[in-house]
Amino acid sequence: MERFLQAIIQGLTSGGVYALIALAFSIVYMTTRVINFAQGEVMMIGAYVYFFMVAKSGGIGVSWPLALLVALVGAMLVGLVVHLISIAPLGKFDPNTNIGWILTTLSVSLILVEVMRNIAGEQAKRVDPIVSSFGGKKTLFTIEPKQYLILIVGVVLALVLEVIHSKTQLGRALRATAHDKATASLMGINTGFMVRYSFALAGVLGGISGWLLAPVIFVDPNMGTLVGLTAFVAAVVGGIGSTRGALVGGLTIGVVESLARWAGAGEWTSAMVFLTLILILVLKPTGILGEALIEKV
Amino acid sequence: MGFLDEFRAANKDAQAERDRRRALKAWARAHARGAVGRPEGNGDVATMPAEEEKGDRLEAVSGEAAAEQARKPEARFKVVTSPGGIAFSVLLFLLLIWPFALPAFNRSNFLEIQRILVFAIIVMGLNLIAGYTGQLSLGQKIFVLIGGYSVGVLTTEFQSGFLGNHWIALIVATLFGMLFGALLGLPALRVKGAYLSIVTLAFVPIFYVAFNSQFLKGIFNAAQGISDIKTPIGNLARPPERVVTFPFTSRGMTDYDYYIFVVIMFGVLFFLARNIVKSRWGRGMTAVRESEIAAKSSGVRVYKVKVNAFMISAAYASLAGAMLTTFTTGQISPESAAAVHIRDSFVYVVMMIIGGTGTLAGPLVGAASVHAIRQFLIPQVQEAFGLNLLSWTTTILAVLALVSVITAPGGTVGIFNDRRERAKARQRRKQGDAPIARLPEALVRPRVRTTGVTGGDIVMETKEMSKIFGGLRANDKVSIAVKRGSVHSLIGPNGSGKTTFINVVTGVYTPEEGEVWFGGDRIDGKPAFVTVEKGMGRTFQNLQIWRRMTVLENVMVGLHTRAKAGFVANMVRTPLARREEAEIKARAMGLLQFVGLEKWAEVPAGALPYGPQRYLEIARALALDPILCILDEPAAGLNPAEVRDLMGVIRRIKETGITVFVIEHHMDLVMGVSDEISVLDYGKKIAEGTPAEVQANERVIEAYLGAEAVEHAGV
Repeated sequence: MERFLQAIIQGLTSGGVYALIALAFSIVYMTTRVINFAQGEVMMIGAYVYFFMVAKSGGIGVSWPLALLVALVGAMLVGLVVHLISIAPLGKFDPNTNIGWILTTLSVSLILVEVMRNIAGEQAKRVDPIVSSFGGKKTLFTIEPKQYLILIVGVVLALVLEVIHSKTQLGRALRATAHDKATASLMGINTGFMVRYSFALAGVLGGISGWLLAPVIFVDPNMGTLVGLTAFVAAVVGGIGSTRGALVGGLTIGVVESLARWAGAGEWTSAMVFLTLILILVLKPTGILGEALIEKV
Repeated sequence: MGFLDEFRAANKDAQAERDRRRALKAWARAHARGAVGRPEGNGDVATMPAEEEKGDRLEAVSGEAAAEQARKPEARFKVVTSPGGIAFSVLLFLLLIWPFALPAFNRSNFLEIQRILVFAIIVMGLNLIAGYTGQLSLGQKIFVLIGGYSVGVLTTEFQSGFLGNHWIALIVATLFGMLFGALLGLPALRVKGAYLSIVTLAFVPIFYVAFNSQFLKGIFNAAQGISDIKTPIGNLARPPERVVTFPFTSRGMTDYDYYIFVVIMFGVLFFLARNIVKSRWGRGMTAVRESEIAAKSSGVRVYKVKVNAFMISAAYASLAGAMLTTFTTGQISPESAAAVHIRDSFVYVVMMIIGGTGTLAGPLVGAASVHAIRQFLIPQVQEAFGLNLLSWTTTILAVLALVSVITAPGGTVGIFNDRRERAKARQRRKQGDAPIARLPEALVRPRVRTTGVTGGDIVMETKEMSKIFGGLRANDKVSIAVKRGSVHSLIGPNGSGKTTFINVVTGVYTPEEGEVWFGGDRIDGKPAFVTVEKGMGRTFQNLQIWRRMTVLENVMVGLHTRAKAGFVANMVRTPLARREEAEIKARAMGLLQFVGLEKWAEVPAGALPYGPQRYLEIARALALDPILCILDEPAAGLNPAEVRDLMGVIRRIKETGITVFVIEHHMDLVMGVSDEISVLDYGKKIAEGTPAEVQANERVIEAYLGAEAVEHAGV
């Protein structure tokens, strides 16, 4: 029973990161109706930048808040570059009938992986956590503080963004863009800015996730692929395009993954996660909190 | 007396139907002979209507003529005459003979050509699902691995048994590919969106784990993989001693024999893919890509088309994977990381993009050029300039793909096709319209279906039907009955729920309350394709035509449900499939002539002016042989002359016995053509009756002009 509870808490903590990346997927999806296949790689770049800033050997060795700041700015820029290269040149397009965006975002993601592999090498990097004990105690329920940090930061950020997006003018503009771009732009909303804002925000969220994950899993060029895909499953499970859904989906998928591991799935753990995706597509394609899209004809 | 009349009438109907069918067959036959379309055509087509009474004799004459034709060999084996067909035949021939032609037989070159052909097969499959159907698979390597492992496991596990035979193993490998294609495609293709891309991408690491797993070591031998796969090729390392051998002998084959086999397989698979693309299924696939909703309302089973296309693409990849494993190394392993397979899958996509997405020649062009870049150009440049290019291979390909998607979405072949299209268009402008063959009257008339229709005088009826969107009653207990053979209009101010009504009736929405009846059956809650199959054709307020298909093809998709030949029958072009295809084409031309679009038949539908696009939708709806034809604001955006034209078309549709249901704001049109009018306001039916009754109705005037207007008018 105790092990079971541990597994749940463990799942919730890794769910924090999935929630953040799912949020990034959702925000970009809201403004553009595309899924950014490079989102996991934006996170990977954020983790690398943080490593290069903070590491004593192999890096510059500055203090962690400064390193975090640089990592966030870096990830944000990468997010904007992804938009600039893969979405902006396509002009106006219908994501349902024109599949070019899948290829362009995937291309950028593979380029980012290869660039990082050629710069930093295949060797995984270790990053020290910023907190390593609870006033002397190393772990709580055998779970380390760096993992609790993920859960706390993930949940707090998701809630803050939820409030911003439901209560402020910026959030209203974002949701208006999500519902109907043409009408939103007639209401004086700069929809082009909203799209760039969504990619920048997704970049920052990627940077934060990279910073949170770096001490937990090693930093390597391929770290973004699996995490990105898992987080995408979280976004679909929660309901893509819904900020609340991203949090719910992220935590759910974290727990599913952790329970699968606890039940002895071993190397098949991620298979269980992707089977959840299949299940949700069969049972409720709009996700837990997603709204059914009513098609106007 | 009464029943005799009835009998005679019924007999006459049946006779008319037989005549129509005969005319159609004759036309189709003539078309197949190439007699139609040329002004000097051999005459029996033009005289068709006059000869109708002597139908039997004509049938007999044509039958004899056909038999005579069949005795000539060139009539039985249709000679390939299209430039593409000739180029392809020449290419295949060259591929088959070049090892003889070259005295110095270079084994590595020869392997590279085989590789290119196998990649082209994979990309041909990918092109069917991604290029034509619009669903991008990012995990085709999964199926390549499944094919390779199938051959590996079967031939080593069942050494001397039936399943251990290489050729049987190839077939089983293909079937396995299709099976897993179905397992991934069925859930992923259920909903609209990029889910196939996600699911296929996500399953690459899973299959990597499976092939690598200790748990399944007994089957796949984990990381070591399977080596020493029993292949029909004698000795892989040794160059062939003789160039020509008899294949399938117990002595085994040389690798040249296997090369010939691969070339032939490539030719066959190319031919099958081409047949699908050119059949009604291929048109269905393109229709799904361009507009799912329009495809559905033309009776295309969107889900089935997508799953079929994906299963075929998986089968192509598996077969290719099986052959690749056989002729390259005779071994297969899961490689070092899942990322390798993701990159390989990506390379197939890049091949498709660079060659030409949604073109027939694209896959081969793309496979050859990308393979050449990867295998020759990059290493050569690396050696010549001392750059470390090899570790940037993926980046180079990704940049190529990005540039191609952004600047030339049609790829290499697409650029050539565009140029050809433009030349054709110039020629059309210069020469004016090509002479159009006069079609037999029976083909030009839309048909109302007579089979399987019950339900008496009322064709379609809603009973107390309500559709609610988040508490808002878009339709509130609406009861409307449409009489057979009438023109029934539905009018109402903007937002009164007219289009919602149509969407409920056609099965796009499910109503919350009440019932919908059509042709004697209750249909509420049934999917759209059921209402289509029962005989309901519709047009759309915001046009839903397939812009990149020709005008003729648009109508041909509308005839999708009128044919019986299935996917496989069209793939191998059975006589039934070929006959149906000719009939579909003939009927589509007839319907275009009915609405007056025949001179634009070969033009891409997107290039039509706005008015003709509306007519195109009407022709497409009529192609269903509908009982009920629903027109959603057909006059929107038309000028007064075009509206008068449209009124004529609606009247002519009515004359054929098809019931017409019109939603319209254009009052001249509504009052001019309608037998009965229903009026909606805020989701409720407020009036119903003849045009005169409705025009005088106080509540209607109030709804349109406000309560004050009623007072002023003193009604």
